[in-house]
Amino acid sequence: MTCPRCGAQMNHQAEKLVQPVTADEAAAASTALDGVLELVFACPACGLIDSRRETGETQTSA
Amino acid sequence: MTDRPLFVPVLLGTPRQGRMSEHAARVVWEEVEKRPGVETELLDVAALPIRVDDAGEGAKDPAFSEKMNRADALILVTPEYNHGYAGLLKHVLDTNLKEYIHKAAGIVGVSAGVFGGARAIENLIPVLRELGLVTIFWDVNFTTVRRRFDEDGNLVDESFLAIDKFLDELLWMAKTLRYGRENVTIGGSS
Repeated sequence: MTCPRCGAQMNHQAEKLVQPVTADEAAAASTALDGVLELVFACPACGLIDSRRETGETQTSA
Repeated sequence: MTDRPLFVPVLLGTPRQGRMSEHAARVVWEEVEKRPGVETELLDVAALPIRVDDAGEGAKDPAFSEKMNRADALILVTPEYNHGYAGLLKHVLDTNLKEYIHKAAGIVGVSAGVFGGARAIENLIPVLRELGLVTIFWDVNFTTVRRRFDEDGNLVDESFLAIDKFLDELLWMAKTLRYGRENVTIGGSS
């Protein structure tokens, strides 16, 4: 993932299992994990944290 | 390694009128401010425009989320109410997730009794773990809090607060986790 703030290459630092909240999230949830994986990235240049769901949906920064 | 200063906000975790935790939070915040290479800010759950009839992304306050995104560590100041932490603190914490992951968390407990919020702290630790925060093994306990401060909120008894040890450990963890977040890839060999 490229940092949306400074353009540097971000580091894939974590994969967090998230329980589905909405119906769409529940539909996209992995039955094996009983949830959705959120892939979390950190920018080594500016420190920004960003993430996207394993389904491909991008979670925009605050 | 980056030379950006660490950002370590202090979150006052109760909105109640007459809260003694406000004095405790200010004392801790002043100690963080003295640390070189560290920037801080005192945040108050009572001042955050976070709606209480929604959750997660739907309840996010962009300004608060930006501060959590920028933070390298978080200091939570929690009173102990009926052996637990304040409900609004939980709600506020729940509005973010990715912003917390692999960041350090230290807890300051406040109580009228002799345990200094220890039971609230123990209840809060598993919540922080699920949010991806990394808790440290030092706490600050403001025991018998009404005797700790005078009527103007000045600290009159500093005994057994161990704030220096708490901050030493928290800042070590904050630096270490920042390096890990920005340089060590999950599932990789680096």
